[in-house]
Amino acid sequence: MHSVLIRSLNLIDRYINETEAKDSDFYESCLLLLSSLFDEVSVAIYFLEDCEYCLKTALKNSKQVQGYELSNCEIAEFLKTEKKYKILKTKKDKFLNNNTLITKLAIRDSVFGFLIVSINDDFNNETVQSLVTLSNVISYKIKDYELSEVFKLQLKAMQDAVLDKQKAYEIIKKQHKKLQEIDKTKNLFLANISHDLRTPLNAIIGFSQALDSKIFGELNEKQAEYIKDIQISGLHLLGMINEILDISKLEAHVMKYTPTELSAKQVIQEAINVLEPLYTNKDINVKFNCEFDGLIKADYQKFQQILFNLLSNAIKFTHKNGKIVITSASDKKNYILKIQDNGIGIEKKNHSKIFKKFVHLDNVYTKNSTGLGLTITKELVKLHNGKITLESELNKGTTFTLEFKNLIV
Amino acid sequence: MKKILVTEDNELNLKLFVDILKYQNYDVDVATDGVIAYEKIKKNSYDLIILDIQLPKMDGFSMLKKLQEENFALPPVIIASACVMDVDKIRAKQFNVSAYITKPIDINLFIKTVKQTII
Repeated sequence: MHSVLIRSLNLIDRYINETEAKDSDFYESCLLLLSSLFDEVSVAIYFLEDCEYCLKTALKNSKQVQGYELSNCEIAEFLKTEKKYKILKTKKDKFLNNNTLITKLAIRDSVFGFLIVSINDDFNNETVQSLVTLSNVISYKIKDYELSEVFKLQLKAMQDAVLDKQKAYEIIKKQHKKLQEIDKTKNLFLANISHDLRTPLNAIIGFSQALDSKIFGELNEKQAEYIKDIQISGLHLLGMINEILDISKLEAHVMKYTPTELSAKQVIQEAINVLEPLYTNKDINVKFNCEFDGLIKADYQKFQQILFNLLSNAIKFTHKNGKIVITSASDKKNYILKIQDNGIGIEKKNHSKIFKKFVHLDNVYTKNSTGLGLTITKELVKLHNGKITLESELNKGTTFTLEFKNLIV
Repeated sequence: MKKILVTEDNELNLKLFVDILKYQNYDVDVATDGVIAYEKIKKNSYDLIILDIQLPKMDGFSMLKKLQEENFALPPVIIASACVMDVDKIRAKQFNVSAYITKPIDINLFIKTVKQTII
């Protein structure tokens, strides 16, 4: 019997190694081999999750003795639950006619099933011992197999995850490239549209300017008024085209930044002078608080644009006879610029919104605006290594504070 | 009388330039595409060229490049273009043009620039 046992273990070992791929056949193969070791043997593996009444008894007994011979009554009981067997090698009645031995399949003390062997001989001590050893080995083999299945599944899951990640990465890369292309197309489109809009504007503004400057003769009062209106509207349109172009340049990071040394006082005074017709028209009192009278290193055109944007906004949103105060100051190494008005103000909930693109607040008159002015201003301030913040209360007024590092020469 | 060539493909813009320049007592010739402009520049002698960049058949830069490769002695050039991107301005600098005016032009600035450039 021992030689049989060794041979069978070797066979099982080999068989398992060779048939690893054929997953579903594993248990059957195990049992098939076992049955080939004995003449006239019937073998079944019964897993505990399927355990019914009769085997509960068997389990109780098998804890006391390692091998347990089933009584005919018990065999009959468990044959009723046939469907739950992993396999039955021979016909049912073989179990009844032969002597049947049940051994537990367990790892340490945790039982997960039974091996049921029936032979037409009597079980002697040696056979029982051999079968007990065999069932121990089979227990480990089964668990090994199941574990390796779990590992295989986990490995596959991991591989899939890695593949998925790779795939996702590829998709993102593709999308990114596509987005870049779209962005390029968008910028090109904006450059073209800017060109195409400027061409007719050249004639509109040019001819009206030519008439307005009276180089071709005098105009009557109404004609002079209308020609001014055409010019203003043309320039307004131009302003909006420029804003759209600016934002596309800023977003494409192709905005040129050419800093030169400037007198802060002079640049601010220039901006105030240019906007004079606008604020005198509304009888707004503009005060310039010049606490810093030194040089700053900034891009002249862009710095002026910042001032124009903030000042014209302040004028736009301040009532007749209102007040605007511009403060130019330094705080240690930082340059501080404040533009304060007592206009309509901005609700707190909208403070974070106003720097976003295309934002128009409901309570204000924003006709004829692209909704890009403050977005551009913020970006231009950033270009100068500065930051812009605001304090504002509805119906009280707004203060924009610009703080620049390393701007002072 | 100083002679100026205006290259411009837009009819109304051409009219605007021509009217203003004529009124300033210049002799004005016109070209409505790059090829005509190229031929006129080679055949006639001008004191100044007002050049558009986007022109049919041959764009302004290509024309300047061609003339430069032929070692042609160009009169002063003022570019008047609706191209406002920095790349165009940088390219213009490489051709050593006298001025770059963006459209829509301010006619006072335009007249001033012409007066300063023409010798």
